[in-house]
Amino acid sequence: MNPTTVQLLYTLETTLVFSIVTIGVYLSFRVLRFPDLTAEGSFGLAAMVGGAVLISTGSPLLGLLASVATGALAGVVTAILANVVRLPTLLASILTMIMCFSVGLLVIGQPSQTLPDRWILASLLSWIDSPIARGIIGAGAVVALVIAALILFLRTGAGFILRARGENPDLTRELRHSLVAWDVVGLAMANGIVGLSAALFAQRSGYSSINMGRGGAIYALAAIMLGETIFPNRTMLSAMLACVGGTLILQLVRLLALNLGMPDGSLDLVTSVLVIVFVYLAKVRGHLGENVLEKIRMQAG
Amino acid sequence: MAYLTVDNLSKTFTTPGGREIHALSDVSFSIEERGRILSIVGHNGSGKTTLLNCIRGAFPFDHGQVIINGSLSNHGRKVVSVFQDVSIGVVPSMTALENLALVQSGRGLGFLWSLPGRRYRQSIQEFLREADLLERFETFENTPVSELSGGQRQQLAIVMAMMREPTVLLLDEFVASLDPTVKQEILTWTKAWVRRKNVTTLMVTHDHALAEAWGDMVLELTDGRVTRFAGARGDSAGQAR
Repeated sequence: MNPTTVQLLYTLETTLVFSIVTIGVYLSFRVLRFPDLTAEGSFGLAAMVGGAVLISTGSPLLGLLASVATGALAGVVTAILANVVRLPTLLASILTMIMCFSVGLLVIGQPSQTLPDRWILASLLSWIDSPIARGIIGAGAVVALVIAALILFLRTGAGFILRARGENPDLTRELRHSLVAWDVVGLAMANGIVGLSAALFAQRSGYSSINMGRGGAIYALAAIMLGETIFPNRTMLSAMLACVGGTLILQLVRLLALNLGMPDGSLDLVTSVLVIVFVYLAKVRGHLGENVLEKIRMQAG
Repeated sequence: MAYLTVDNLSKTFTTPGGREIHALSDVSFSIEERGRILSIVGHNGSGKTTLLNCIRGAFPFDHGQVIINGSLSNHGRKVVSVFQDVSIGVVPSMTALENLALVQSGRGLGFLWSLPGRRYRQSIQEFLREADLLERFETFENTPVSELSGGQRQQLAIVMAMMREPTVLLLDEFVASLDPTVKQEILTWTKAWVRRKNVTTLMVTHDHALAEAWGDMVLELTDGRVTRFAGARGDSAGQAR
Protein backbone atom coordinates (compact mmCIF):
# COMPACT_ATOMS: atom_id res chain seq x y z
CA MET A 1 0.00 0.00 0.00
CA ASN A 2 1.44 3.40 -0.89
CA PRO A 3 1.89 5.97 1.92
CA THR A 4 -0.92 8.23 0.67
CA THR A 5 -3.43 5.37 0.76
CA VAL A 6 -2.29 4.44 4.26
CA GLN A 7 -2.66 8.08 5.35
CA LEU A 8 -6.15 8.24 3.86
CA LEU A 9 -7.22 5.01 5.54
CA TYR A 10 -5.93 6.18 8.93
CA THR A 11 -7.73 9.48 8.40
CA LEU A 12 -10.93 7.56 7.69
CA GLU A 13 -10.47 5.52 10.86
CA THR A 14 -9.81 8.67 12.93
CA THR A 15 -12.84 10.33 11.33
CA LEU A 16 -15.12 7.46 12.29
CA VAL A 17 -13.91 7.40 15.90
CA PHE A 18 -14.08 11.17 16.26
CA SER A 19 -17.45 11.49 14.51
CA ILE A 20 -18.92 9.79 17.59
CA VAL A 21 -17.91 12.94 19.55
CA THR A 22 -19.54 15.07 16.84
CA ILE A 23 -22.77 13.07 17.20
CA GLY A 24 -22.67 13.52 21.00
CA VAL A 25 -22.13 17.27 20.63
CA TYR A 26 -24.93 17.34 18.01
CA LEU A 27 -27.27 15.81 20.59
CA SER A 28 -26.57 18.54 23.15
CA PHE A 29 -26.27 21.51 20.76
CA ARG A 30 -28.91 20.73 18.19
CA VAL A 31 -31.44 18.37 19.79
CA LEU A 32 -31.34 19.56 23.40
CA ARG A 33 -30.27 23.07 22.27
CA PHE A 34 -27.92 23.29 25.22
CA PRO A 35 -24.61 25.08 24.50
CA ASP A 36 -22.46 22.41 26.12
CA LEU A 37 -18.67 22.52 26.09
CA THR A 38 -18.36 19.74 28.70
CA ALA A 39 -16.87 17.47 26.03
CA GLU A 40 -13.65 19.54 26.15
CA GLY A 41 -12.99 18.06 29.59
CA SER A 42 -15.22 14.96 29.73
CA PHE A 43 -13.35 13.41 26.78
CA GLY A 44 -9.98 13.49 28.59
CA LEU A 45 -11.45 12.47 31.95
CA ALA A 46 -13.35 9.57 30.37
CA ALA A 47 -10.18 8.45 28.58
CA MET A 48 -8.20 8.57 31.84
CA VAL A 49 -10.78 6.77 33.98
CA GLY A 50 -11.47 4.16 31.29
CA GLY A 51 -7.70 3.73 30.85
CA ALA A 52 -7.21 3.23 34.60
CA VAL A 53 -9.95 0.58 34.63
CA LEU A 54 -8.35 -1.13 31.61
CA ILE A 55 -4.98 -1.17 33.37
CA SER A 56 -6.37 -2.54 36.64
CA THR A 57 -8.80 -5.12 35.20
CA GLY A 58 -7.26 -5.89 31.82
CA SER A 59 -10.76 -5.72 30.30
CA PRO A 60 -11.22 -3.29 27.39
CA LEU A 61 -15.00 -3.68 27.72
CA LEU A 62 -14.95 -2.61 31.38
CA GLY A 63 -12.64 0.25 30.43
CA LEU A 64 -15.07 1.33 27.73
CA LEU A 65 -18.06 1.13 30.08
CA ALA A 66 -16.16 3.18 32.69
CA SER A 67 -15.42 5.85 30.07
CA VAL A 68 -19.08 6.02 29.02
CA ALA A 69 -20.19 6.28 32.68
CA THR A 70 -17.59 8.98 33.39
CA GLY A 71 -18.68 11.03 30.39
CA ALA A 72 -22.34 10.65 31.39
CA LEU A 73 -21.55 11.74 34.95
CA ALA A 74 -19.81 14.89 33.66
CA GLY A 75 -22.97 15.65 31.64
CA VAL A 76 -25.11 15.21 34.76
CA VAL A 77 -22.89 17.68 36.66
CA THR A 78 -23.33 20.28 33.90
CA ALA A 79 -27.12 19.78 33.92
CA ILE A 80 -27.23 20.18 37.71
CA LEU A 81 -25.04 23.30 37.65
CA ALA A 82 -27.26 24.85 34.97
CA ASN A 83 -30.62 23.87 36.47
CA VAL A 84 -30.18 23.54 40.22
CA VAL A 85 -27.39 26.08 40.88
CA ARG A 86 -28.90 28.08 37.98
CA LEU A 87 -25.64 29.04 36.35
CA PRO A 88 -25.80 30.24 32.73
CA THR A 89 -25.66 27.09 30.59
CA LEU A 90 -22.39 27.89 28.84
CA LEU A 91 -20.69 28.79 32.13
CA ALA A 92 -21.98 25.57 33.73
CA SER A 93 -20.39 23.48 30.98
CA ILE A 94 -17.12 25.44 31.10
CA LEU A 95 -16.90 24.93 34.88
CA THR A 96 -17.53 21.20 34.49
CA MET A 97 -14.86 21.11 31.78
CA ILE A 98 -12.32 22.74 34.11
CA MET A 99 -13.33 20.44 36.95
CA CYS A 100 -12.83 17.42 34.68
CA PHE A 101 -9.15 18.36 34.21
CA SER A 102 -8.59 18.68 37.98
CA VAL A 103 -10.58 15.57 38.86
CA GLY A 104 -8.64 13.57 36.28
CA LEU A 105 -5.31 14.67 37.76
CA LEU A 106 -6.47 14.08 41.34
CA VAL A 107 -8.01 10.65 40.72
CA ILE A 108 -5.40 9.20 38.38
CA GLY A 109 -2.46 11.10 39.90
CA GLN A 110 -0.76 11.80 36.58
CA PRO A 111 -1.66 13.73 33.41
CA SER A 112 -1.26 10.75 31.10
CA GLN A 113 -0.82 6.99 31.22
CA THR A 114 0.31 4.23 28.88
CA LEU A 115 -2.33 1.58 28.24
CA PRO A 116 -1.90 -2.12 27.47
CA ASP A 117 -2.37 -3.00 23.80
CA ARG A 118 -6.00 -4.07 24.07
CA TRP A 119 -8.20 -2.16 21.68
CA ILE A 120 -11.72 -3.50 22.10
CA LEU A 121 -12.39 -3.40 18.35
CA ALA A 122 -9.19 -5.38 17.67
CA SER A 123 -10.36 -8.05 20.13
CA LEU A 124 -13.86 -8.23 18.64
CA LEU A 125 -12.66 -8.32 15.03
CA SER A 126 -9.57 -10.49 15.48
CA TRP A 127 -10.60 -12.55 12.42
CA ILE A 128 -9.72 -9.60 10.18
CA ASP A 129 -5.98 -9.70 9.42
CA SER A 130 -5.32 -6.09 8.47
CA PRO A 131 -5.24 -3.80 11.56
CA ILE A 132 -6.37 -0.79 9.54
CA ALA A 133 -9.30 -2.70 7.98
CA ARG A 134 -10.18 -3.92 11.47
CA GLY A 135 -10.15 -0.34 12.76
CA ILE A 136 -12.26 1.06 9.92
CA ILE A 137 -14.84 -1.74 9.95
CA GLY A 138 -15.03 -1.73 13.76
CA ALA A 139 -15.27 2.04 14.13
CA GLY A 140 -17.77 2.17 11.24
CA ALA A 141 -19.92 -0.43 12.97
CA VAL A 142 -19.81 1.53 16.25
CA VAL A 143 -20.80 4.75 14.43
CA ALA A 144 -23.67 2.91 12.71
CA LEU A 145 -24.81 1.45 16.05
CA VAL A 146 -24.68 4.84 17.79
CA ILE A 147 -26.67 6.49 14.97
CA ALA A 148 -29.23 3.66 14.85
CA ALA A 149 -29.68 3.63 18.65
CA LEU A 150 -30.04 7.42 18.79
CA ILE A 151 -32.55 7.57 15.95
CA LEU A 152 -34.56 4.78 17.53
CA PHE A 153 -34.45 6.52 20.91
CA LEU A 154 -35.45 9.88 19.44
CA ARG A 155 -38.57 8.21 17.99
CA THR A 156 -39.75 6.88 21.36
CA GLY A 157 -41.90 8.87 23.75
CA ALA A 158 -38.80 9.72 25.78
CA GLY A 159 -37.05 10.90 22.62
CA PHE A 160 -40.01 13.12 21.72
CA ILE A 161 -39.87 14.75 25.15
CA LEU A 162 -36.12 15.31 24.77
CA ARG A 163 -36.65 16.95 21.37
CA ALA A 164 -39.53 19.03 22.73
CA ARG A 165 -37.37 20.11 25.68
CA GLY A 166 -34.89 21.53 23.19
CA GLU A 167 -37.31 23.09 20.73
CA ASN A 168 -40.23 24.14 22.87
CA PRO A 169 -39.47 24.19 26.61
CA ASP A 170 -42.74 26.03 27.35
CA LEU A 171 -44.77 23.21 25.81
CA THR A 172 -42.65 20.62 27.65
CA ARG A 173 -43.40 22.38 30.93
CA GLU A 174 -47.09 22.62 30.02
CA LEU A 175 -47.10 18.86 29.47
CA ARG A 176 -45.77 18.55 33.04
CA HIS A 177 -42.37 17.14 32.15
CA SER A 178 -39.42 18.26 34.26
CA LEU A 179 -37.00 20.37 32.23
CA VAL A 180 -34.26 19.56 34.75
CA ALA A 181 -34.76 15.81 34.43
CA TRP A 182 -34.64 15.94 30.64
CA ASP A 183 -31.54 18.14 30.68
CA VAL A 184 -29.93 15.51 32.90
CA VAL A 185 -30.99 12.71 30.53
CA GLY A 186 -29.88 14.58 27.41
CA LEU A 187 -26.51 15.76 28.68
CA ALA A 188 -25.74 12.38 30.25
CA MET A 189 -26.45 10.73 26.89
CA ALA A 190 -24.45 13.31 24.92
CA ASN A 191 -21.39 13.09 27.16
CA GLY A 192 -21.75 9.33 27.53
CA ILE A 193 -21.38 9.17 23.75
CA VAL A 194 -18.33 11.44 24.02
CA GLY A 195 -16.97 9.01 26.64
CA LEU A 196 -17.46 6.13 24.22
CA SER A 197 -15.36 7.90 21.62
CA ALA A 198 -12.73 8.72 24.26
CA ALA A 199 -12.43 5.03 25.18
CA LEU A 200 -12.00 3.99 21.53
CA PHE A 201 -9.43 6.76 20.99
CA ALA A 202 -7.41 5.91 24.08
CA GLN A 203 -7.43 2.14 23.54
CA ARG A 204 -6.47 2.60 19.89
CA SER A 205 -3.67 5.06 20.71
CA GLY A 206 -2.30 2.95 23.58
CA TYR A 207 -2.29 5.88 25.95
CA SER A 208 -4.70 8.27 27.59
CA SER A 209 -4.18 11.88 28.57
CA ILE A 210 -6.29 14.36 30.50
CA ASN A 211 -5.60 16.87 27.71
CA MET A 212 -6.59 14.65 24.80
CA GLY A 213 -10.04 16.23 24.51
CA ARG A 214 -8.90 19.87 24.44
CA GLY A 215 -10.44 21.58 21.44
CA GLY A 216 -12.67 18.54 20.83
CA ALA A 217 -16.05 20.17 21.46
CA ILE A 218 -15.18 23.18 19.31
CA TYR A 219 -13.85 20.87 16.61
CA ALA A 220 -17.05 18.81 16.78
CA LEU A 221 -19.15 21.95 16.58
CA ALA A 222 -17.19 23.04 13.52
CA ALA A 223 -17.83 19.60 11.99
CA ILE A 224 -21.57 19.92 12.70
CA MET A 225 -21.76 23.35 11.04
CA LEU A 226 -19.69 22.21 8.11
CA GLY A 227 -21.84 19.09 7.72
CA GLU A 228 -25.06 21.12 7.87
CA THR A 229 -23.70 23.57 5.30
CA ILE A 230 -22.50 21.02 2.78
CA PHE A 231 -25.16 18.35 3.32
CA PRO A 232 -28.44 20.17 4.03
CA ASN A 233 -30.58 17.75 5.97
CA ARG A 234 -34.23 17.19 6.64
CA THR A 235 -34.23 13.99 8.66
CA MET A 236 -32.51 12.88 11.82
CA LEU A 237 -30.55 10.26 9.85
CA SER A 238 -29.27 12.77 7.30
CA ALA A 239 -28.34 15.17 10.12
CA MET A 240 -26.21 12.50 11.80
CA LEU A 241 -24.63 11.42 8.54
CA ALA A 242 -23.82 15.10 7.98
CA CYS A 243 -21.98 15.02 11.34
CA VAL A 244 -19.80 12.19 9.98
CA GLY A 245 -19.38 14.04 6.66
CA GLY A 246 -18.37 17.28 8.39
CA THR A 247 -15.82 15.43 10.54
CA LEU A 248 -14.39 13.71 7.45
CA ILE A 249 -13.95 17.00 5.59
CA LEU A 250 -12.16 18.58 8.55
CA GLN A 251 -9.85 15.57 8.86
CA LEU A 252 -9.10 15.59 5.12
CA VAL A 253 -8.30 19.30 5.19
CA ARG A 254 -5.92 18.77 8.11
CA LEU A 255 -4.28 15.91 6.23
CA LEU A 256 -3.94 18.06 3.13
CA ALA A 257 -2.46 20.92 5.16
CA LEU A 258 0.09 18.57 6.72
CA ASN A 259 1.02 17.15 3.31
CA LEU A 260 1.48 20.67 1.98
CA GLY A 261 4.11 21.14 4.66
CA MET A 262 2.15 23.47 6.91
CA PRO A 263 3.36 23.41 10.51
CA ASP A 264 1.38 21.30 12.99
CA GLY A 265 0.47 24.39 15.01
CA SER A 266 -1.34 25.98 12.05
CA LEU A 267 -3.94 23.20 11.70
CA ASP A 268 -6.46 24.79 14.07
CA LEU A 269 -6.18 28.04 12.12
CA VAL A 270 -6.80 26.18 8.85
CA THR A 271 -9.81 24.42 10.37
CA SER A 272 -11.28 27.69 11.67
CA VAL A 273 -10.80 29.51 8.36
CA LEU A 274 -12.45 26.62 6.52
CA VAL A 275 -15.50 26.69 8.78
CA ILE A 276 -15.80 30.49 8.46
CA VAL A 277 -15.62 30.29 4.65
CA PHE A 278 -18.18 27.48 4.37
CA VAL A 279 -20.67 28.99 6.79
CA TYR A 280 -20.34 32.37 5.06
CA LEU A 281 -20.84 30.80 1.64
CA ALA A 282 -23.93 28.99 2.91
CA LYS A 283 -25.39 32.27 4.15
CA VAL A 284 -24.66 33.99 0.84
CA ARG A 285 -26.26 31.06 -0.98
CA GLY A 286 -29.28 31.31 1.36
CA HIS A 287 -29.69 35.02 0.68
CA LEU A 288 -29.36 34.49 -3.06
CA GLY A 289 -31.96 31.72 -2.84
CA GLU A 290 -34.33 33.98 -0.92
CA ASN A 291 -33.91 36.77 -3.46
CA VAL A 292 -34.68 34.42 -6.34
CA LEU A 293 -37.72 33.06 -4.52
CA GLU A 294 -38.92 36.59 -3.82
CA LYS A 295 -38.65 37.46 -7.52
CA ILE A 296 -40.63 34.33 -8.44
CA ARG A 297 -43.30 35.22 -5.87
CA MET A 298 -43.55 38.77 -7.25
CA GLN A 299 -43.82 37.50 -10.81
CA ALA A 300 -46.50 35.03 -9.74
CA GLY A 301 -48.44 37.98 -8.47
CA MET B 1 -71.45 26.05 43.88
CA ALA B 2 -70.38 27.50 40.52
CA TYR B 3 -68.05 25.35 38.36
CA LEU B 4 -65.63 28.22 37.70
CA THR B 5 -65.41 31.33 39.80
CA VAL B 6 -63.12 34.32 39.28
CA ASP B 7 -63.30 36.47 42.38
CA ASN B 8 -61.94 40.02 42.66
CA LEU B 9 -58.98 39.26 40.41
CA SER B 10 -56.46 42.09 40.02
CA LYS B 11 -53.18 42.18 38.19
CA THR B 12 -50.79 45.10 37.88
CA PHE B 13 -47.71 45.26 35.67
CA THR B 14 -44.89 47.70 36.30
CA THR B 15 -43.11 49.10 33.24
CA PRO B 16 -39.30 49.44 33.21
CA GLY B 17 -39.91 53.17 33.74
CA GLY B 18 -41.75 52.42 36.99
CA ARG B 19 -45.27 53.17 35.70
CA GLU B 20 -47.99 50.85 36.97
CA ILE B 21 -50.47 49.39 34.50
CA HIS B 22 -53.64 47.92 35.99
CA ALA B 23 -54.27 45.08 33.55
CA LEU B 24 -57.12 43.64 35.61
CA SER B 25 -59.09 45.44 38.33
CA ASP B 26 -61.37 43.42 40.60
CA VAL B 27 -62.61 41.13 37.86
CA SER B 28 -65.35 38.82 39.14
CA PHE B 29 -67.61 36.41 37.31
CA SER B 30 -68.71 32.82 37.51
CA ILE B 31 -69.75 30.00 35.22
CA GLU B 32 -72.38 27.96 37.00
CA GLU B 33 -72.25 24.67 35.12
CA ARG B 34 -69.45 22.59 33.69
CA GLY B 35 -69.27 22.50 29.90
CA ARG B 36 -70.36 26.06 29.25
CA ILE B 37 -68.62 28.29 26.73
CA LEU B 38 -67.71 31.83 27.69
CA SER B 39 -66.59 34.31 25.04
CA ILE B 40 -64.39 37.13 26.27
CA VAL B 41 -64.29 40.26 24.12
CA GLY B 42 -62.58 43.61 24.40
CA HIS B 43 -60.20 45.97 22.65
CA ASN B 44 -56.42 45.53 22.56
CA GLY B 45 -55.01 46.02 26.03
CA SER B 46 -58.36 45.45 27.75
CA GLY B 47 -56.91 42.55 29.79
CA LYS B 48 -58.35 39.54 27.93
CA THR B 49 -55.11 37.59 27.57
CA THR B 50 -53.98 38.61 31.07
CA LEU B 51 -57.22 37.14 32.42
CA LEU B 52 -56.59 33.82 30.64
CA ASN B 53 -52.99 33.77 31.85
CA CYS B 54 -54.15 34.32 35.43
CA ILE B 55 -56.71 31.51 35.11
CA ARG B 56 -54.11 29.08 33.72
CA GLY B 57 -51.67 30.04 36.46
CA ALA B 58 -49.03 31.40 34.06
CA PHE B 59 -48.22 34.25 36.44
CA PRO B 60 -49.29 35.31 39.91
CA PHE B 61 -51.96 37.94 40.39
CA ASP B 62 -52.02 40.71 42.99
CA HIS B 63 -55.15 39.59 44.76
CA GLY B 64 -58.34 37.65 44.22
CA GLN B 65 -58.80 33.98 43.45
CA VAL B 66 -59.74 31.55 40.72
CA ILE B 67 -61.76 28.56 41.86
CA ILE B 68 -62.38 25.65 39.52
CA ASN B 69 -64.72 22.90 40.66
CA GLY B 70 -64.24 23.86 44.28
CA SER B 71 -60.46 24.21 44.41
CA LEU B 72 -57.92 26.92 43.62
CA SER B 73 -56.83 26.95 39.98
CA ASN B 74 -53.09 26.72 40.56
CA HIS B 75 -53.33 23.38 42.31
CA GLY B 76 -52.84 21.00 39.42
CA ARG B 77 -56.08 21.64 37.53
CA LYS B 78 -56.13 20.52 33.93
CA VAL B 79 -56.37 23.98 32.43
CA VAL B 80 -55.11 23.78 28.85
CA SER B 81 -54.52 26.67 26.45
CA VAL B 82 -54.43 27.16 22.69
CA PHE B 83 -52.89 30.39 21.44
CA GLN B 84 -53.07 32.42 18.23
CA ASP B 85 -49.33 31.86 17.76
CA VAL B 86 -49.39 28.19 16.78
CA SER B 87 -45.66 27.74 17.33
CA ILE B 88 -46.30 27.91 21.09
CA GLY B 89 -48.18 24.62 21.19
CA VAL B 90 -46.20 22.39 18.79
CA VAL B 91 -42.68 21.08 18.11
CA PRO B 92 -41.81 22.24 14.55
CA SER B 93 -39.21 19.59 13.64
CA MET B 94 -41.51 16.71 14.55
CA THR B 95 -44.31 15.36 12.37
CA ALA B 96 -47.95 15.90 13.28
CA LEU B 97 -48.18 12.29 14.49
CA GLU B 98 -45.03 12.64 16.59
CA ASN B 99 -46.46 15.79 18.19
CA LEU B 100 -49.60 13.88 19.14
CA ALA B 101 -47.40 11.05 20.44
CA LEU B 102 -45.53 13.62 22.55
CA VAL B 103 -48.78 14.34 24.38
CA GLN B 104 -49.34 10.60 24.87
CA SER B 105 -45.81 10.11 26.23
CA GLY B 106 -46.81 11.63 29.55
CA ARG B 107 -49.12 8.68 30.23
CA GLY B 108 -46.68 6.33 31.87
CA LEU B 109 -43.57 4.28 31.21
CA GLY B 110 -45.21 2.11 28.54
CA PHE B 111 -45.84 5.17 26.37
CA LEU B 112 -42.45 6.64 27.26
CA TRP B 113 -40.47 3.83 25.67
CA SER B 114 -42.76 2.63 22.89
CA LEU B 115 -42.33 3.64 19.25
CA PRO B 116 -44.98 5.57 17.30
CA GLY B 117 -45.69 2.60 15.10
CA ARG B 118 -47.19 0.59 17.91
CA ARG B 119 -49.22 1.70 20.86
CA TYR B 120 -49.08 5.39 19.94
CA ARG B 121 -50.65 5.12 16.53
CA GLN B 122 -53.45 2.94 17.83
CA SER B 123 -54.45 5.21 20.72
CA ILE B 124 -54.02 8.37 18.65
CA GLN B 125 -56.20 6.95 15.89
CA GLU B 126 -58.83 5.95 18.41
CA PHE B 127 -58.87 9.50 19.76
CA LEU B 128 -59.07 11.06 16.29
CA ARG B 129 -61.81 8.64 15.22
CA GLU B 130 -63.86 9.48 18.29
CA ALA B 131 -63.39 13.21 17.61
CA ASP B 132 -64.37 12.58 13.97
CA LEU B 133 -61.02 13.99 12.82
CA LEU B 134 -59.24 10.86 11.59
CA GLU B 135 -59.61 11.51 7.84
CA ARG B 136 -58.63 15.15 8.24
CA PHE B 137 -55.40 14.19 10.03
CA GLU B 138 -54.42 11.24 7.87
CA THR B 139 -53.61 13.64 5.03
CA PHE B 140 -50.77 15.30 6.94
CA GLU B 141 -49.92 13.09 9.93
CA ASN B 142 -46.43 12.24 8.64
CA THR B 143 -45.54 15.78 7.54
CA PRO B 144 -43.13 17.81 9.71
CA VAL B 145 -44.98 20.63 11.44
CA SER B 146 -42.61 23.16 9.87
CA GLU B 147 -44.07 22.20 6.47
CA LEU B 148 -47.74 22.40 7.48
CA SER B 149 -50.04 25.31 6.62
CA GLY B 150 -51.11 27.69 9.39
CA GLY B 151 -54.55 26.05 9.49
CA GLN B 152 -53.13 22.54 9.76
CA ARG B 153 -50.76 23.63 12.53
CA GLN B 154 -53.60 25.20 14.46
CA GLN B 155 -55.72 22.06 14.04
CA LEU B 156 -52.81 20.06 15.41
CA ALA B 157 -52.38 22.42 18.38
CA ILE B 158 -56.10 22.13 19.19
CA VAL B 159 -56.07 18.33 18.98
CA MET B 160 -52.95 18.25 21.19
CA ALA B 161 -54.86 20.34 23.70
CA MET B 162 -57.89 18.03 23.44
CA MET B 163 -55.75 14.93 24.01
CA ARG B 164 -54.65 16.35 27.35
CA GLU B 165 -58.26 15.89 28.53
CA PRO B 166 -58.71 19.42 29.89
CA THR B 167 -61.34 20.30 32.44
CA VAL B 168 -61.06 23.92 31.31
CA LEU B 169 -60.00 24.89 27.78
CA LEU B 170 -58.65 28.40 27.15
CA LEU B 171 -58.67 29.59 23.53
CA ASP B 172 -56.78 32.85 22.97
CA GLU B 173 -57.63 34.33 19.55
CA PHE B 174 -57.08 30.77 18.32
CA VAL B 175 -58.58 31.23 14.86
CA ALA B 176 -57.76 34.92 14.36
CA SER B 177 -55.06 34.42 11.74
CA LEU B 178 -56.82 31.76 9.63
CA ASP B 179 -58.72 32.11 6.39
CA PRO B 180 -62.54 32.12 6.73
CA THR B 181 -63.15 28.56 5.45
CA VAL B 182 -60.57 26.90 7.69
CA LYS B 183 -61.65 29.14 10.57
CA GLN B 184 -65.27 28.02 10.24
CA GLU B 185 -64.31 24.34 10.02
CA ILE B 186 -62.14 24.57 13.13
CA LEU B 187 -64.77 26.47 15.07
CA THR B 188 -67.38 23.86 14.15
CA TRP B 189 -65.48 20.73 15.16
CA THR B 190 -63.92 22.34 18.23
CA LYS B 191 -67.35 23.31 19.51
CA ALA B 192 -68.72 19.84 18.73
CA TRP B 193 -65.93 18.24 20.76
CA VAL B 194 -66.25 20.71 23.64
CA ARG B 195 -69.98 19.97 23.81
CA ARG B 196 -69.50 16.20 23.58
CA LYS B 197 -66.82 16.14 26.30
CA ASN B 198 -68.55 18.76 28.45
CA VAL B 199 -65.41 20.89 28.68
CA THR B 200 -65.76 24.39 30.16
CA THR B 201 -64.29 26.74 27.58
CA LEU B 202 -63.17 30.36 27.66
CA MET B 203 -62.52 31.92 24.25
CA VAL B 204 -60.87 35.30 23.78
CA THR B 205 -61.74 37.13 20.56
CA HIS B 206 -61.94 40.59 19.03
CA ASP B 207 -64.89 39.52 16.94
CA HIS B 208 -68.15 40.40 18.70
CA ALA B 209 -70.28 38.48 16.20
CA LEU B 210 -68.20 35.33 16.72
CA ALA B 211 -68.34 35.82 20.49
CA GLU B 212 -72.14 35.94 20.41
CA ALA B 213 -72.50 33.03 18.00
CA TRP B 214 -69.95 30.68 19.62
CA GLY B 215 -70.35 31.31 23.32
CA ASP B 216 -73.14 30.56 25.76
CA MET B 217 -72.16 33.75 27.55
CA VAL B 218 -70.21 36.85 26.63
CA LEU B 219 -67.98 38.82 28.99
CA GLU B 220 -66.71 42.19 27.86
CA LEU B 221 -63.59 43.74 29.35
CA THR B 222 -62.73 47.43 29.13
CA ASP B 223 -59.48 48.67 30.65
CA GLY B 224 -59.26 45.63 32.90
CA ARG B 225 -62.82 45.83 34.23
CA VAL B 226 -65.89 43.77 33.43
CA THR B 227 -68.29 46.06 31.59
CA ARG B 228 -70.74 43.44 30.40
CA PHE B 229 -71.58 39.85 31.23
CA ALA B 230 -74.57 38.46 29.44
CA GLY B 231 -75.93 35.19 28.22
CA ALA B 232 -75.62 34.95 24.47
CA ARG B 233 -78.97 34.31 22.86
CA GLY B 234 -80.69 34.66 26.23
CA ASP B 235 -78.56 32.01 28.01
CA SER B 236 -77.91 32.80 31.67
CA ALA B 237 -75.64 30.03 32.92
CA GLY B 238 -73.26 32.45 34.59
CA GLN B 239 -73.09 35.85 36.16
CA ALA B 240 -70.90 38.87 36.76
CA ARG B 241 -70.30 39.21 40.45
